[in-house]
Amino acid sequence: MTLINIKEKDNFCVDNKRVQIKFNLIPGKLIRLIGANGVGKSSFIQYLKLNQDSFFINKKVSYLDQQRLLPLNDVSLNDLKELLLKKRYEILKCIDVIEEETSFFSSKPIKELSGGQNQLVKIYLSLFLSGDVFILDEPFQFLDEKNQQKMLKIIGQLKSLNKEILIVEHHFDLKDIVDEKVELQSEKKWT
Amino acid sequence: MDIEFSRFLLAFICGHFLTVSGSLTQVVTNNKLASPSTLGFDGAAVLAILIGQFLLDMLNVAFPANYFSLSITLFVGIIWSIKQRKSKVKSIWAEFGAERIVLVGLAFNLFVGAIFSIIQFLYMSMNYNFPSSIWFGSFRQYDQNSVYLFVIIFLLAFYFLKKIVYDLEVMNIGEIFARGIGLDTSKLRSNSLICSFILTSLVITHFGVFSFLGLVFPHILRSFKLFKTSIKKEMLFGPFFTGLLFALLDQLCYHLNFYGAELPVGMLSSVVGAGVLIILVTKAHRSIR
Repeated sequence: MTLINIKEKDNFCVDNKRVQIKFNLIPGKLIRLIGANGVGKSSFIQYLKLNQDSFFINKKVSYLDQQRLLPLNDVSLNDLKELLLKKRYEILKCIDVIEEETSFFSSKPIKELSGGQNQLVKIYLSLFLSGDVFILDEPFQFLDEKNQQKMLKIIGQLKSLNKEILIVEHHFDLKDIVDEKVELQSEKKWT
Repeated sequence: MDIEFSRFLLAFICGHFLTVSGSLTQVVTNNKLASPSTLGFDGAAVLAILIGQFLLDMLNVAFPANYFSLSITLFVGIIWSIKQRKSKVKSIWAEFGAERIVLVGLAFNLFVGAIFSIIQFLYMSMNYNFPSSIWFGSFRQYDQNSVYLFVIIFLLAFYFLKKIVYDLEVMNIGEIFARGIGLDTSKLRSNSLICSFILTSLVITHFGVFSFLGLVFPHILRSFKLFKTSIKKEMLFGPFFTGLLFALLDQLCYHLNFYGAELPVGMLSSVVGAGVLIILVTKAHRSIR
């Protein structure tokens, strides 16, 4: 279990508004982070990244970000697999589903992929690196219906593997699998 | 050491440095437009030369102007790195600043251009010797000591690159992604920019400006199949090719005299480099369509 507690004194603010939040990440449970547009959900995830060592002690975290991967050169998914092999935490079985999907473009330069393909590459890398904690920022964006269902299955499998999962999602109906909702709110006091 | 070999070696190392500086700035800012010239490093070094020359002339001190101006740039570099080390502020969306950095750099270069004209005016009115040749770099004049200096810095730079090349490869995927793996991207960026700044100012204070070669060389390398998929190859082995290319270009200038005068290699490389860049960029555009 991981306690995420951002207090007033941490001074985490978005657009000069201070944000406070407290919740627990529990193994095998899916926590959904909600909040209005621009309240700072993605910034909150970046804040967790920057302070990884103080929040997640002795735990490996795997992130899936909102931003598109846009390398400078013609590096492909196959090159990345080779590059990131030494950062791999464990081999997950559920990666096979995405591996099959990405096999059509795994040797193509990432910068030339479409939005959905780029999203699949990001999901693949997140599962490839793996960890005890999964933090997924809008994992369903850009995906077609078939791949959305696959992603849903993967999240279910991660739950059954006793991973701690935090998900940020607006559109997709996650009623059946979400265990707890946490709302991120900001106050205007901070100047 | 044979004079011609020393010159060849110096040109090779300079080509190597310019490529490394360009690649470093492009990878850590994730911006193909970034280079020592667009980030204002060229401008800073030229400004250091002008200030150095001016101070030496005013004080009437006999000290090699290039080493003096190099010390000025190094001093600025060291202050910069100390300031970076001390700052505890971690910016979350730093990567969106990349475009802004290029804009600031371009503005700074324009600013230096204006200062250059003012100082030129002051020099001429005070009858001082104006270092106008720095705009087009050349290897016509060099002293043997600079060969040793360049070789030492070359080895140090190679060691530094070898140490950070894996991090750079991860950073190339995306800054936010790299941060997720636990990479301190702000530190990597500032270290790389400082390295690029030092290498560029070393070249410029000794041999003058080789305009936007730092921009062209990485693009040339990335047009080859061997280098386009790996930052490691581009950083560690690529500069040897471009360095060699640059040294050969310099030899061409050395052997082809125009009525007894040697064409500065900076002039030739600017013309060739600009043409090559235009071809590469338009070709890449066509393939996307």
